[in-house]
Amino acid sequence: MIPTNYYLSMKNKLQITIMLLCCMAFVSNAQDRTISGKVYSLEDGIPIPGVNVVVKGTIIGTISDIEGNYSIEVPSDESILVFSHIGMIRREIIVGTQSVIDLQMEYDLQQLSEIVVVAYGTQTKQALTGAIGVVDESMIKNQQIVSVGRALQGTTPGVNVITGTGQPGENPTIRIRGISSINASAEPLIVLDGVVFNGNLNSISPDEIESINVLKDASASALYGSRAANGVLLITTKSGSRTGESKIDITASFGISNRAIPEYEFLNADEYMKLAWEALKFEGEEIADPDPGQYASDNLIDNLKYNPYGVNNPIDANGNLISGANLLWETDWEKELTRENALRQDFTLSFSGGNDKTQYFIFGGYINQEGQIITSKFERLNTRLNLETILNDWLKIGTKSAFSYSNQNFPYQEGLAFANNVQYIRSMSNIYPVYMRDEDGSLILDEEGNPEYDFGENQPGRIVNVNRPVLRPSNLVATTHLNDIQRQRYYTNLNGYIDITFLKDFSFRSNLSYEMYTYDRFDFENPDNGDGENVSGRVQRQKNITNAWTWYNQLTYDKTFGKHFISASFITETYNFKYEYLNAQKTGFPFNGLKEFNAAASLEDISGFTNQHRMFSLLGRATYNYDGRYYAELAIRGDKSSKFSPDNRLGTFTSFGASWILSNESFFDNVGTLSYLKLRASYGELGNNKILDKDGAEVYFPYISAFETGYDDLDNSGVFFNYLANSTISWEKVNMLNIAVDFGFFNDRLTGSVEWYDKLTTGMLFDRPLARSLGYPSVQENNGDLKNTGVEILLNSINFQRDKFTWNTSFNISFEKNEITKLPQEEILVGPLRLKEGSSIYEFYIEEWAGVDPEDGAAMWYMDEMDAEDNVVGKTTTKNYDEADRYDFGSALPKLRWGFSSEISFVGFDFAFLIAASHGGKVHDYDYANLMHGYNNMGYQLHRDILNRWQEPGDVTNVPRLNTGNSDVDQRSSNFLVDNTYVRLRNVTLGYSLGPTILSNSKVLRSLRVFVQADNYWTWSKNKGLDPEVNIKGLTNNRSSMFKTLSFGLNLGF
Amino acid sequence: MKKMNSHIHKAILIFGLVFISMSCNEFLDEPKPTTAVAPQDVFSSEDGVRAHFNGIYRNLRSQWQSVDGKSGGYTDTWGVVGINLTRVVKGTDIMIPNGWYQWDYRHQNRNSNYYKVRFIWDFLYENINQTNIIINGVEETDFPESAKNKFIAEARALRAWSYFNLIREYQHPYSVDPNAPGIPVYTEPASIESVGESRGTLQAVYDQIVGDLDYAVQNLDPGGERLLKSNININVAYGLLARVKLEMRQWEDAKNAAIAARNGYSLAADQYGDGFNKIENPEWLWGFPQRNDQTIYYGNPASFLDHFILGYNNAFANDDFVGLFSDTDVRNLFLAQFYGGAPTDYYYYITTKFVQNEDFSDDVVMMRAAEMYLIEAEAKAELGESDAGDVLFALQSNRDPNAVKSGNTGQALIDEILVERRKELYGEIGAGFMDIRRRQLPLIRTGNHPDVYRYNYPANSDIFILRIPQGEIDSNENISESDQNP
Repeated sequence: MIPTNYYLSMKNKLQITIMLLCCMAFVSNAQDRTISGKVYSLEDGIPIPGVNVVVKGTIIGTISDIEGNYSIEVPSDESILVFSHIGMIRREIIVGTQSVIDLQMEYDLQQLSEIVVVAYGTQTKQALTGAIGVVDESMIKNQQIVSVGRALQGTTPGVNVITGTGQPGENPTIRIRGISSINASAEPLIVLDGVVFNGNLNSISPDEIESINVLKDASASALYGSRAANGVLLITTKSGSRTGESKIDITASFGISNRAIPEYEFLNADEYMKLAWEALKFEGEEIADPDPGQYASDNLIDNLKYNPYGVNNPIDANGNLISGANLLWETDWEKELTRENALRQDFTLSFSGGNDKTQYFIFGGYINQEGQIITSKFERLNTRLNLETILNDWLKIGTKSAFSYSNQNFPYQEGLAFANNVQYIRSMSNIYPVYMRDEDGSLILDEEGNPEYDFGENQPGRIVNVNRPVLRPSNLVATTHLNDIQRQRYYTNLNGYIDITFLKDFSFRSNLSYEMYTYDRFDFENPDNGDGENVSGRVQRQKNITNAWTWYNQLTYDKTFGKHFISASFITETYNFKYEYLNAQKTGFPFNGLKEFNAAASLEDISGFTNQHRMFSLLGRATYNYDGRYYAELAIRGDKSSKFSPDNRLGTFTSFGASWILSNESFFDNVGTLSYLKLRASYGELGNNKILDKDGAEVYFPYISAFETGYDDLDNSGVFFNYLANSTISWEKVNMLNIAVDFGFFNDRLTGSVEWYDKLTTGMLFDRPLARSLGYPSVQENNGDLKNTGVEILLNSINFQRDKFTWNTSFNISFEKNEITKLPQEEILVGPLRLKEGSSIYEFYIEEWAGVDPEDGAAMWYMDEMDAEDNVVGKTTTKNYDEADRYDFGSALPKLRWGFSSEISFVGFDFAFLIAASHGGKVHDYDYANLMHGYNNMGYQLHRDILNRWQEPGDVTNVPRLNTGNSDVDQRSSNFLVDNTYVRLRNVTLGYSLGPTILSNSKVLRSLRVFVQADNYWTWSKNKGLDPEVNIKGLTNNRSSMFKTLSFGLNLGF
Repeated sequence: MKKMNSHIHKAILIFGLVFISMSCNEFLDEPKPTTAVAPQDVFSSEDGVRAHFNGIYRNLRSQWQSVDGKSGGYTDTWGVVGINLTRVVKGTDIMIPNGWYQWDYRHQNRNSNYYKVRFIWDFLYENINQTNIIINGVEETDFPESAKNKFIAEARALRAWSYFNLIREYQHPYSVDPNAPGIPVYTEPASIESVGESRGTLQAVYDQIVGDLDYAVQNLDPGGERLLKSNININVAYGLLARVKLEMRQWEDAKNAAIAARNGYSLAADQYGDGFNKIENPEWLWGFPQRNDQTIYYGNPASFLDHFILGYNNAFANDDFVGLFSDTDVRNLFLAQFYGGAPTDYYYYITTKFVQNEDFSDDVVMMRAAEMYLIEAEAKAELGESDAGDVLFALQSNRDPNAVKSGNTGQALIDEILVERRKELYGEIGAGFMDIRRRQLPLIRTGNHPDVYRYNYPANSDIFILRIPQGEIDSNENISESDQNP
């Protein structure tokens, strides 16, 4: 590592400067003397405890005691004492010759929370020029979440949160201010305690979080440069306080969870059998059988393979159940495979406190949440130590360290695999039994007299109640219990920093953060049943280890000249990320009950690789403030990344923000009820370096065409060309303009903001499709523009504020518009979506359903009508799905979302609720479509809506005639496209706290609160069975659904 | 005070250095791909090229997903087996009324947006591009000329195999109309600038296929070693040429190629009943090996055809077909009433021709010497050569010690050969159905097919060809809706 000449000379200059500055600092340090005094409230003259008193430009500081008294040593007469306290206006006093300084402090109504965490530092809320959404501790506390991402839903305008699964511990999809990328990642950057986070979000406990700040515009996030284009989540963990008080807090809650939305409604077994007969009767008619009714009766069991009645030809030639036929079984697969009243337990214990030198926060948490699918579970243990101590008047050190372990029992609950329990419930009709049945329908028992699971297999000599046409061979009731699927995660974060103050105006921080995250996947297939049976059991184990470190060094200069305040920071940052993947698979377990590799006989697979990413960055920020009225901020980050070819490695990202607080102007004194008014604007550029491959995995060398290894032909190693690179590939850039107004009325009883943004992604990465016959699907190019625009409104009000009764409400609403403004070609089709200039990225372009022909019950779709010259002149219907044309049907993205929350406290009671809503997004419900197959999938489950099927000429209905042929009735079309507007009561909390008067008798107990929380207890949606929080693209995939949870809990403070 | 001063001095100095030291480029240059190699590395050595061939052969027999990775694969689209079995069930002899392959059996799987239609297209075109990468890459190396030619010959044979399989799915046989629309032909690897080709003509596709195979048989090493039977050697190339010429009704060429193909391979009646899962079988010219760690699991033919194992067990033998076999024929591997039922029930007969190995290590058959006898016999019969019947009987007598030579000639002999092809090759690569197509015969299903699938389709029915995948029409500027198959 040889520094360049440029840096050498810079180094010399820096050295000299620093030495000079140091000498000056210590000369003036020589004359310490003591100042003391008392701090009062201006309004009522009551002493204020806990006021921070600091000698400006040093870390010399103290805190006022319970009587408001303080005492501090100051170096000189020129020293400035800074008095600050959350919610009060900060005061600066020049010491001069005084030895006693008593001070009155004023409540600052304009500052709801004084300090806001921003990129590489903190700012006062007044000074912000960028758009930052804040979710504080109380908003997080009121929600029963496992993954913290969910706390953003409904609480922050401009943030779209979709959970999409009922498996606890899975993270929601989070999109900030629209979606700014199509083929690169659209995930926000997560920053934990100042450093980019590389673990899994579910490793963080909501209870250790002080706040989550959402950086939304360029001014707020430009310091994260090439990784910030999708917005940034700044997660800050709790720290102790310097008030001298030591606290112990215990929280325990216990709850039960159930599905928020009931499952689709299915046919019962009788109905299923009768309708199957009807479908077969039509089949008989089609092949001109002389007696179609008899044909259907004769062929019914032959087609379904199972006879739940135990009598021959249970449905007669007229479609009626013959007398004496009674159901011997009817399986409710939902009941068999899902949980009712899943349990939730949540315990936390924290110690926090400190004195004028040291503050600490020590945390331990445990959560255990069962999931919707049997055996599904999430368990997590968190520990954290945040400690900061002042060593002397120029040096402060601190650490934020955490360890977290979690284990997810994760039975399959998404996708097409046989083992997906949700798909299973929606595939197996009630006529199939859980346990094996003989020809007469009696249970077949094993030697010990126990029933045996039915896998629907063939059996020699048997033709009834075997050979199930649905998902054969399988029985998830058996294998979900007997198999073992676990996801263990270990996350360690060691984050240490040193703060040095020198001279009056300089400070320096060096921060080193090290992360190690291990993901351990364990999949065991039992040797007795299911997929593992043929190989006497199979175990797969995957260990992925992420090692990452970030080292940043920050030099900051703060200076006030009269009414001018200047702050500047210069930062270097080095980032190293390494990901090692190891996977192995073995089969052949001779002994039951063993699951580890040593117990298995033969190796089936072993593979491994390493990914690395490194960055080096230089950052700068300058802020200027004149008299608390005018603010300006400039931020620049230069990133060099190993992801790009040396020619394209450097990216520079700049932003500028300014604000004007009109209400601090003298002319503003008498503007009626308006108490606060601030205008903000920012403009800047951000980047996105997370390029994904065709499977959605991050690409670390997108500029290198590559042959992938691992395609071995027996023992001969093989490679396969699977990445056609564009050697000029580079960052996506996002240019963002943000204009906002912050306001307060009635002495800030009503506050809020209105923001407008325009976010333009340029050089957007595109998988430009090649003709499919070229044998390579697409090539990546920086060749597209995408625009996200939106308006966000936030309103907070303090409706009532008395000693014993307070009532606050908060409302936010976001309008978003997503529009492709440039494409490399006229249009690109991606599954059911079409990318086209002028429309959104999730625009449905699908076949249009034209209803059912009342004459013959056939399904119809629309197709273009052409004239002789092949021009489209209109549309006409077709009964051949292959001829159907595709049309635009609107976007999966909601037009607007809103959230409404309120908190009331009255005497000892507290009550809070949160409503989240989304309007206008479309969903194509494939899950429902599959349930409307009309017997083209014999034996598969059907929705009750099939009862409305066409039966005879003249029937007017939207459900086609039953048909055993490949009828296409369940194919993608506007028939299954639904409006996904919904309103959900995310949370209601009711608590009661014992009052201080009661507790004052207790020497030990500081606080006690009991509470009841209910999450997702009410949802309004036009759709049944479909959980509205399905998927950002509006596509279903047989996923488990959201929970509602009811919990009781207790907070104890000592 | 002095002590503290020096502390600060030092600390600041250290951090000053930190600012400066981290900007070196070596730090950023160090990360390198760990599982992929660049084209220049592959084509830097003959071993590198061989590795690409290995990768191609492996991919052909893999649990193939999809070319764009955005939708998962299906059990009936797992590589070559997916193509073979799709053809097997479209004919008259093997029945799959339910489960995987049922829509192919029912001839209800040809629409432009169905995954099977997309799979065959994408899978084979992916293979074509890989072969073009090899050809193009090898041409630019400085390997010895003979080594270059061998590599190119093998790649061209593989490319011809892909085009031949494609064209027969998406167009009627060559003999119907050589000027009918073909399929896009590429001889260069796809690049960032590539544009899709038009359908061209059937003739152009066959010209490409024949040109590739001619080159292959001229340049592949007679008697050359191969790593595995998955690799195309000169015998396989001749075998492919024989199939192509048979399709084109160029009987003389077909005959000669078939004779050359089976050179060194013999008939082994005693191994016919061994389960069709062993690549070592001396009859096999070409096949794909599998091993417990390199298998398509339940996608294997035995998963459908073998009823003694845990699998889909959904393929049955047609009773009229079973009736064609004598009791002493080694190929008479049928069991009646395995599940019970009456002879009219489609599940009355199962076949035990395919047996699943316990660890899914079933090898996949692609070409056998017996087929070459049959091609030779058919070509000779068409040419009116007198020993056509002898060639046929050489096979018949090997399979059945009690076989009696029919003495048929002319059309009767040809018909007999076509029946013999069904009997010999059932369940393998779909010869029965492809013969119906090639010979322009109607598809007539008799016997215990379920009533609803007892089809009677005329010769050259459009039902037999797949429609062009919608994705191709959408992404290829030179193919439009008007180019779609009827």
